[in-house]
Amino acid sequence: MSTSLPPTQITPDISAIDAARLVASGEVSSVELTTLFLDRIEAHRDLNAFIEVPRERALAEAAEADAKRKQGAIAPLLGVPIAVKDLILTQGVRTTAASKILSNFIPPYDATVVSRLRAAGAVVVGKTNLDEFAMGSSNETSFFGPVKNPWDTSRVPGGSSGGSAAAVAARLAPAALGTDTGGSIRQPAALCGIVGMKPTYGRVSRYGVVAYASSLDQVGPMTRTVADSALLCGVLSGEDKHDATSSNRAVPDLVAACQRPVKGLRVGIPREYFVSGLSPEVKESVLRVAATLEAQGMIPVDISLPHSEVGLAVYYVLAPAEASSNLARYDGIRYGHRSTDAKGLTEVYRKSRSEGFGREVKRRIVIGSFVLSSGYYDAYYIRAQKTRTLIAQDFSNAFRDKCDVILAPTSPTTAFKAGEKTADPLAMYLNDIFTIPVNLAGLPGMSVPCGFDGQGLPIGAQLIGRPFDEETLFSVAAAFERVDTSWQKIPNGYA
Amino acid sequence: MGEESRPVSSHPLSEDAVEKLIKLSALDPQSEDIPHLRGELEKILGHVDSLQGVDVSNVDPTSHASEAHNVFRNDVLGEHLPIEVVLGQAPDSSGRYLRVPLIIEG
Repeated sequence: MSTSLPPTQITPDISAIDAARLVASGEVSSVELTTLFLDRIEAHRDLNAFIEVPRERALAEAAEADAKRKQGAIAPLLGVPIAVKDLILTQGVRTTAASKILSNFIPPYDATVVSRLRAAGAVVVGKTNLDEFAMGSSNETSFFGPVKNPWDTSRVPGGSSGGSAAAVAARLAPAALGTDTGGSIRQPAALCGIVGMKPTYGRVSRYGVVAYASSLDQVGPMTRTVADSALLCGVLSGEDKHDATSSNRAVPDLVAACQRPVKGLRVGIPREYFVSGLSPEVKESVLRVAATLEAQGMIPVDISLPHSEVGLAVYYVLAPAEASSNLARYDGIRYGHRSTDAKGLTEVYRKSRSEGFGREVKRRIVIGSFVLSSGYYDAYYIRAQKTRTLIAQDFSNAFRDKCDVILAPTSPTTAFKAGEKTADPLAMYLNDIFTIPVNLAGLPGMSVPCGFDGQGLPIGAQLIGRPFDEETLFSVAAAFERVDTSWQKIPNGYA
Repeated sequence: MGEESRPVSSHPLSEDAVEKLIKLSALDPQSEDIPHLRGELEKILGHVDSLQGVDVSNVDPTSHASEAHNVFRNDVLGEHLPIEVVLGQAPDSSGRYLRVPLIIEG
């Protein structure tokens, strides 16, 4: 396949699929394409979307991709620049988790998702900023400073994958990887007007991803188009012997799923997601999505997910509990920051950690210690695990009896002002109220652009599917994208 | 869902209890702002207390959303990372070993 675009007319708005096609046909070299994006990353440093940009190495990878193409190699992302969240290990390229404690860490190996990207021919163009250890919803807890939202630089891009979302929205890369523990792909995707996909728990390997809450963490693509999301999701998915929780189920052709008809599919509208706290503009926009899908032959159905309200409380017991255990490994001994002001082993642990972790991370570790401590374990941790069962049952009942896909808001509001919620952790946590239940139930969830508010800020609609039924999500998202042009709009100054 | 219910925790934490949690978390009590942290924990745990109103009788706990299955492998030596690369990330090392501070104090 070829396209009529000569190299001089490649625009930064190019999709990953079109970029791959141009490289494969020889009309554009990977070096040209990679240079274009590296230059844009440099020109838009003010967004602070990247922590590390290994320019020479990326250009060498691009040259290698061009050489492979000339030798006849075919790969789905051959020569395409992709940004990677700096929570995901890249061999030989600094990986910090946006924390002081890992600020000089050079991983000795690639995460499985990075190996898979490389096997597909992709060029890793840079490591994107995030909330420290992925703990945050605004990208304001990073040791390397906050990320700005390209739609309005006085506002946050969401989090924790805020650097990836801002980079893709500002056309600094055609696509990026994010991670999602309670909404960290979908919420920033919504706030930056892009497509963010969290696959089913177990679909994608977590090996080499800095662990936050292991029973919830999942890697996924952040792109501007649904088809790009499907292509990347397919590349990332599959069993990995290094991750015992990765699924051995076959990975379907997700790009083909984008062409499937949606007529007759039932879309559940959970009444608990359209109540107080939801911005009227977001509500209106998401309900318009339901009408658009109905016009394409889908059947809207009123559903109830009665335990949604306690999802946030469950999350803020289980995620900190898992984090307090996972982050015990940062002790100043084997890697990472060691305090120079400590005597004896106990002081090395305590001072290295107190100096190395930021406030939000320490807050969550302490909450985790609390809910796991004797006397509170049953009342908090076990009770939260039982309530998690009820939340998962709500979804399975809805999918068994009522609907094939669920439509909900991704975030209660559009992008808020930087600094607006940093003083009140609970107000910040409420940003993830609509995304958290999906992680607790291990379901696939996706945010797609569905409009703009009165201030021109993007709004995201969330689609939630049955376990391992990413195909239906991509079918519905693609059907919506064909008739709604919100995804095409470029933030001012980033064309 | 909404922001309306923010009860104060039914388990008020003393500053001594917060200090104990900081030590349990292997953090340095002298470096942390205990009164501030206490206020934040009370507020967060106050929200978390909404769990106490959920009927969980006869409900099994969920620890993982995955299709849990045992993974069996042959007990053979696999690939491992070069020791010099791994030690290269350590704050302090000596030869083939990590160097650690004095463990038995006194």
